[in-house]
Amino acid sequence: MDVEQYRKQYEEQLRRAAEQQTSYRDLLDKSKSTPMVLGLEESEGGEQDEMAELIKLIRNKDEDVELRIRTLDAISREAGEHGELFDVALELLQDTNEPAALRRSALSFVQQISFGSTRFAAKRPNYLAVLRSVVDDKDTTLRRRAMGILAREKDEYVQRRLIEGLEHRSKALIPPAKAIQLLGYDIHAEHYPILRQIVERPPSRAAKKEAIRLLAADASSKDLLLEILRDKGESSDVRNISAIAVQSLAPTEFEEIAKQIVMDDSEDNAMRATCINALAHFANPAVLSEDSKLDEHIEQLSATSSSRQLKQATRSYIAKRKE
Amino acid sequence: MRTEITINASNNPAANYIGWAPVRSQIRLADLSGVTGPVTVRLRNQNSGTGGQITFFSTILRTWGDELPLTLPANGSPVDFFIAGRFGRPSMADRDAAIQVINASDARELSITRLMVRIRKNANNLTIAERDRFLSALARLNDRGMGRFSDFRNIHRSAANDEAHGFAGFLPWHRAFLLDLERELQQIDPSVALPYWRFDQPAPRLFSRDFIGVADFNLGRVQFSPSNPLQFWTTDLAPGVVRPPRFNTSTSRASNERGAVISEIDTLLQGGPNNQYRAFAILEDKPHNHAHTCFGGFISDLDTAAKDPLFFLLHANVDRLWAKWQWFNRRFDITSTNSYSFLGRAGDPRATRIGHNLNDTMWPWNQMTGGFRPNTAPGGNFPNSSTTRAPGPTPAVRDMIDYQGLIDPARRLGFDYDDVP
Repeated sequence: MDVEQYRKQYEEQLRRAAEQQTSYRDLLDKSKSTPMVLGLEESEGGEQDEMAELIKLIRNKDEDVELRIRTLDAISREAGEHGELFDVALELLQDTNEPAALRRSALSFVQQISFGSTRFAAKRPNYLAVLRSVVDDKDTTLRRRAMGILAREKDEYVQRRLIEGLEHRSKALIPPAKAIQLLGYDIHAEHYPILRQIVERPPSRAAKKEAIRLLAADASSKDLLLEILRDKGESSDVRNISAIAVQSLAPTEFEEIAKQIVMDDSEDNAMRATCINALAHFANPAVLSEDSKLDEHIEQLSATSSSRQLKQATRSYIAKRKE
Repeated sequence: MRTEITINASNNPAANYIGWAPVRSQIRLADLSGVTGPVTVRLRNQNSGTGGQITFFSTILRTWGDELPLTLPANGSPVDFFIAGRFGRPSMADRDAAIQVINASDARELSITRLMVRIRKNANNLTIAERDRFLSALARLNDRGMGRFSDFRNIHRSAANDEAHGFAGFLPWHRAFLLDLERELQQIDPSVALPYWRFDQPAPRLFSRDFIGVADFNLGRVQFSPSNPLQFWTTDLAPGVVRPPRFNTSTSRASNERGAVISEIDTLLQGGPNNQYRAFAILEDKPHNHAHTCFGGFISDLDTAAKDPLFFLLHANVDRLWAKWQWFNRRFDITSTNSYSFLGRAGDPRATRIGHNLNDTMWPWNQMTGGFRPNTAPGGNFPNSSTTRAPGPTPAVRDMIDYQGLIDPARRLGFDYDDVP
């Protein structure tokens, strides 16, 4: 490819794009004020008045919701200079009388402008407090998202509410599988007993799988996980998660069981593919070298199996063994 | 009679990796039997129809093309020349490019040197073999949560926020972070280059169970195929990735309630009419922050973002956008505020936060802790490369600007993008 020709073509693309900038794109040009872009009257009082006018529009409950959302989005680039926009978005998020679409947009706004930014450090306590107030919101999406953010912040309040919901189903704010997943952002030893209970008496298969994942770090759950892995009557996806957890918890024992599963022609193909994949990437090559029967069997599977996944895993294994 | 070629100042085949930037090479007569005087040879780009392709230069400033004639002294002294990958023709596999040396007098082949034009590519366009090599190396780096990847996970956390975000050094810091990871991957498999996720385009092949995974609808739990080694991905002691998308990953560009991420062209236009770094750096918000928050789960939050392997593909695209802006506007000169906003060092008048001025070294590679820096510095110094000495063990912001070594060849970092010459 001729680089100079490539540059000319790219230059042309940029030129055309610059010419065709829409009202949204005009925001990228600082010389044009936001009200102009949004088709509003430009205030005579300068930038501060313009911003005040925009904030008034965003807060105006009689105004069209779409326009309010669009305005909020359009002025996000000004958030660094106008910290009050963060507060306005939090107000909208907290106000249960506002439409859910606007509140979700406000949450995205706050999340986006605060990602990695220290400009809003002083506002952080208030942000987290507002999120805690949303935990009981009637809007399921907002509730889940607020809980997710708080869980990633390792927020004690939300952890307490999650445990409460798992212990007493009537107090659950979100489905148990999601609650377990969120608990995983800050797992403690005291959580393991309830997770084991969930694995033994699962409210749903999804909850069981999420609980098994978290038990991958709990040495005292090893036997329970090994039992699930060996149980051919268990569903393939649950066993698959157990294989991953056991591999992390007890790698040597896993390798032995994985070999047995691979050699067993009555086993589920997806399970065998998972085990071959694990052996290919993480098993001790010296240990594998001692097992020529395993290599032969995998080569045979590669030649004869009709399972795409199994064939793919065997190919990867054979390639790795030749490295 | 035999010739020997040295690439990247090393005879070690591990150094035989090039990108688009010209690298100094040498050729000499290694076996002098039958040599009675200077020998004229032709260096040729072999297999010009397939695999990686090479361009020769007699000097760094002069393009020569597919072939280069050189006269080699009879005493075995080396002769300098330069090679680069031919733009648009990267390698697909390790060492699928080759330099053939022919004796000009009798057309006899004197040597073949195999090498790779190793380029960061659009993840959605990787071949199955390229994809699988990348996934395998990444999974082994993670090693079920017990591998070296844990350092990368621990570097990009809230405690280090000020080192990497919210200031001018956002782009250079992340360039170093990605290169650190890529060099670790290349220790496992030297043919791997970090792919990028073009978040302004649909990427159905990337968002598949055989690649970066597909999130289930209810929980956002990422599903992998049984043969994908990422299914063993483990961070913070828990296996798996959570990444509920707010857009259709099979058909759409990244988007959320606030709309779609801006296009590449619009991102480049953010540099304003004068194309200054200060204006262009707004890409930290749009599209970078926007892309992160087009999902829930790990990647949507700074403290957990690097737990998701997609993080590195997202950032490779952010870095590519910077590289493209640099290429188009020729922004490699570290003495110009057009290329970078703060040219001094921390403590200078009008300097910005430590770590974000041109001459400041960057955490964690400088291993500085306490004070304005975080209390720990995971991962140690910056890793070496078999293809370049840059940026050294304690890189400064300035070491990340002229990444192709266009102004100072000693600064070449050893990576390139498929669509940035």
